[in-house]
Amino acid sequence: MRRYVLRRLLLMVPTFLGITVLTFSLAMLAPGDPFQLDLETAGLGAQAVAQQRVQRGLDAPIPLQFGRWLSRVVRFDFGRSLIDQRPVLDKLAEALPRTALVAGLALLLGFGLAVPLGVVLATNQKRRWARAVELLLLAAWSVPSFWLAVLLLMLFAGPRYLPLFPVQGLADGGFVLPVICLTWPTLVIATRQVRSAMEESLCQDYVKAARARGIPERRVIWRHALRNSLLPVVTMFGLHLPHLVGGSVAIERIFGIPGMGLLAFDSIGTRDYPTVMGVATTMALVTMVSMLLVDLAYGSIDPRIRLERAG
Amino acid sequence: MSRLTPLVVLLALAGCKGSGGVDAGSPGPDARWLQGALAPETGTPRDGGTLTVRLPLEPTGLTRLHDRFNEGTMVRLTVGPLYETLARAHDGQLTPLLAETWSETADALTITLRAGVKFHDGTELTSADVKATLDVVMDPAKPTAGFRAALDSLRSVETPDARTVVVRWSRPWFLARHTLLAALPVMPAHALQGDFDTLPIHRAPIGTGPFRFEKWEPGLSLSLVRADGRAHLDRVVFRFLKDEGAAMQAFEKGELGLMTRLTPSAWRSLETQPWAWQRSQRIFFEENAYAWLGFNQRKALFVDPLVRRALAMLYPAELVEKTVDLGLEPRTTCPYFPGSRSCDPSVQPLAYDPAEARRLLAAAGWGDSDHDGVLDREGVRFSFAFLAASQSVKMARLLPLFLDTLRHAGIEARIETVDVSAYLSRVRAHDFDAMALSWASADEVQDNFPNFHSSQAAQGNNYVGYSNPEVDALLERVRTELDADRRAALEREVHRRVYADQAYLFLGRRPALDAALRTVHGLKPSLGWYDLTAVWISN
Amino acid sequence: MRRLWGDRGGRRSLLFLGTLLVLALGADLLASDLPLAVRLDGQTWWLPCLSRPVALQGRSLADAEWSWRTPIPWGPLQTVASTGEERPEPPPWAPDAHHWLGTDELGRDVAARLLHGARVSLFVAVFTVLISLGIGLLIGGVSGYAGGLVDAVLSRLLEVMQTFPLVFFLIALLSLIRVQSLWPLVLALALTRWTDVARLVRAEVLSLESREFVLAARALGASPARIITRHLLPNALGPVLVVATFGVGSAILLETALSFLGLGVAPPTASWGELLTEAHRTLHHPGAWWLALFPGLAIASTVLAVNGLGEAVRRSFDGRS
Repeated sequence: MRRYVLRRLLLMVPTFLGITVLTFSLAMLAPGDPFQLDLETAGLGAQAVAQQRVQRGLDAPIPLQFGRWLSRVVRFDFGRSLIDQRPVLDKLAEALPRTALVAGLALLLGFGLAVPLGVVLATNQKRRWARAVELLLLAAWSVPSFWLAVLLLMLFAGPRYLPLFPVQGLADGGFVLPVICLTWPTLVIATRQVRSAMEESLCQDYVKAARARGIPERRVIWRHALRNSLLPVVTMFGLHLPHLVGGSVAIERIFGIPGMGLLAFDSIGTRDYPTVMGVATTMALVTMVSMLLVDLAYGSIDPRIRLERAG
Repeated sequence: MSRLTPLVVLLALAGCKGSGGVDAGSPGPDARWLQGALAPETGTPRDGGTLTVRLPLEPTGLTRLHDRFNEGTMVRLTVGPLYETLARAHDGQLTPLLAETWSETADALTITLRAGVKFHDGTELTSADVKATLDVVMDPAKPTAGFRAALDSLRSVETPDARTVVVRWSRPWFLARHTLLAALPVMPAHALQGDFDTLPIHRAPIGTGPFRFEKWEPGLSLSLVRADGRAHLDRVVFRFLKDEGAAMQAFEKGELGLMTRLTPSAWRSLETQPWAWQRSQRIFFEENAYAWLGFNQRKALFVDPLVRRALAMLYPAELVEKTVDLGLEPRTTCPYFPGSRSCDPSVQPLAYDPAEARRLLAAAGWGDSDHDGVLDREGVRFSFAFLAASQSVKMARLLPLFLDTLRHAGIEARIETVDVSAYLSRVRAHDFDAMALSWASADEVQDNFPNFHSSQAAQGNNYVGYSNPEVDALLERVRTELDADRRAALEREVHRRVYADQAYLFLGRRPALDAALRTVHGLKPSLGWYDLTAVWISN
Repeated sequence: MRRLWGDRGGRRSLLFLGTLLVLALGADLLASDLPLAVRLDGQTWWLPCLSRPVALQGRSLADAEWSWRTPIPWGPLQTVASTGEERPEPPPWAPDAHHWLGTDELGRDVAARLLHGARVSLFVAVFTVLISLGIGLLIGGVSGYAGGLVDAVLSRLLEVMQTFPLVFFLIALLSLIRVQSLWPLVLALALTRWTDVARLVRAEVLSLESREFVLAARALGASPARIITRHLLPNALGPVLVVATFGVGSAILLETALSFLGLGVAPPTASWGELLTEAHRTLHHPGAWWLALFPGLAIASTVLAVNGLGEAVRRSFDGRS
């Protein structure tokens, strides 16, 4: 077990390097530089910009710059933002908890609801209401998420209808609407996954055998069948995290939550290289660790799985 | 179809975004409300209360010295109440502010500071602070090129005693004197020590203004509190709300007292909403800002002023004003503050006239010799790309209209969209056929040398590569002319020539479109935004 | 295919998507500023709306001897500056006999933009999925079959792309590639979306590899390429097709989200996401329900139909196994 974890941690190193190299080269190759002002007053001539580039070491070859960055990062120094001059770590420390709250809640809520919902839908396939619920889920998923956000904001935060929540920000229950927006798609996808996995397990031999042994149906469903159906769902749980953060840019923008999505979007837009790299590093670490945890969870759900294989 | 029913309901709801419905019974807004003029103030000011201001963007740093932050409108609005200058400019006159008096000779300016002025941290303002601020600006190693460019005739600064500053000039220049007295914020010397890029004062300002910095929550809000008895308000909170639709909902809910820099669309939307007539007032005021389209005059296609005139005549100004600007950004022809003495009111904008445009193009040698519907000259087709920033909503609306009128005149144009960063770097590298920008200044007094002088085409702000020796000479004379009347006359000549040459295709002025709740009083707009000391809140 | 047609939901979705595809592909024949046929100056032009002869562009059709217009006589990019329509109120105009679904604030016909937008949005979605399918099948297949070092390297690549924030990739790639076409967008989307497919294919290949028919083929001396293309991929196809179908739906939704962030299809090209975003921006006309409703309906019903198809595909493969 310990060897497995150690090996996985070691394998993270090439992945981490891959992500950072890719991010760094993409960001640096993209035309534009961080030394721009507001669009309406771009009055700083080319000379001043060139001077700034030299002062910041941005005129060095890209591999050299990457080397410098890497040597600082291993000492946990992410540098300062080229835009507002703040330490990148400060910016990450502000944004990450916000996103963790919203995306984390959405992830837990989405998967937490999806499991019972998926099971109920799988065992009641023929019922009318089950079909109706399925349709409702699909229909809601078909509405673009930013539009759903605009709608929810208007209905439950705006002054006209049911002003239950603040229009902007996370405080005073402001996290509820964005969490709902992010939960929807997660819930729909996860429910589909649980349902189809359940349907499959329910026709497996061991379930039939369990039934034949006279184990109550409820127990057969929730213990025997579900346990096996959970595997693909757990995999999805780990894979879904980057999607959730990436997909939250529009939601964060509409609800005024300065989280990781917006930080990523703004920093690449302004070519704030240190912040871009900070965001990429954080995201990579969070995702890789969550994937590792998922793989470990695999083992505890299904002891038949040999951890060595999963690498 | 039945499965779509819930969807239809959902989407239709979104479609009518709560129009509020114009109630036939209630009287509509009055003429003054529609114009965005404020009602005359009647009540007596009340002390206390918090003003919440919506900003569409977050300032990147709270200082105007640093180039990175210098010109940003959001920076200007937020630091305005924190810092003070030596003098205040108003209607072409300078009145003392931090300076008590000043006297001038041809090459020197002697300033006496007011006694007893204290910075927000309790230290007293002395001549050393003025000198320290100027030292930072004039240090070529520091990113303060914006102010440095305006002060480059400054030769030396002396401080004979704690209340006297003597500034010596190497040559006469109107803008240097104006910048020193009326634009340069005076910062405390002790806060300017150390690595300039990361000075704490950039994020926690220490000024002498009527408001003191309280806290800045990045991404969310910035708050200032009353520093002394000059202001009525206890606190001003700037909230950064990017999504305009959401901000408008917060405004209607009463969460925001003052909305700044609305888009024409949002400003107009208030007209259809009865709550807005009753509970809010719109504010329309002129800013020294205008938008323009630039054609790269380094390219053979746009060298000829005749061609640029023709392009201006193909620009569907009236249509753009009606459908894109919603009647709120009237056309301008002048690179100076519209309505000021620097603009010649007799210059009329070229009217939309495709027939005349074709004649001009023919005179410049452009005809459709191969009958393919596109003009050509010596085997070259009249075909080019507009470079546009992907975030620019205005261009996404304006350019399709212009493209249509150009196509009808036999000019093939397309839009090339890139993101803002790439856009600006390509503009600086002169890597474009045509592009759009706007210039904005917080001040009525401005120097157009960087924008139109041919020496500024290689490395400076003359991105379009405009070059006219006569205009060059005029711009040089403007710089050394200290007499305001004679300078205005020269500037009017610059205006006439720049427009005749169509150095830019001038679009519209960019007034400020604001809105405030009726409980907010004492808002008196001026070029430098509002004087927040006069603002008060009623119950 | 027959199985899909036999499925009630599958048939409905197929019908809907088929119709949509025909409409989208025929957008130029259905909505254009140029006619289907016209006789002008003694010359007859056939299908100028497709060939777009320059000689006809900008010409008024009023002096034509006869002309046969497209059902919607407006082009997707035609603003009031080119239609010359004059009404007392500036656009947007509500649906009426001239503009069946109304116009946007530049006077562009919503129906025409919706049809041409369908082509753009479907193009982006379908090609994104096709390319990501190609990359995913290749990398997943090779990775699963080869195992060992190749697998380890490709798995790392998979992980890299999976954890990579999409917005970085999009903004960087879109500003790097200077071609003004849909391909940079398609490429950027495909390059970030192939990982699901690759993961799935790899897992399927791993589980199939030890099956008897593969072992038999290998024993008979079949080349690896043959084993992969003839034995492994066809058998892994079922779940992959399901993922791909659902992928089309999410690619359509993704395109809308990107338009909202200003990263989607560049204006003035019409896409569904762009139409919906424009509707969100038109605050000054809060009653202009047609701006949001029609693109919204188009997006939602298409995604719904694609998902219905996905479910049907899944059912048909479940039934087989």
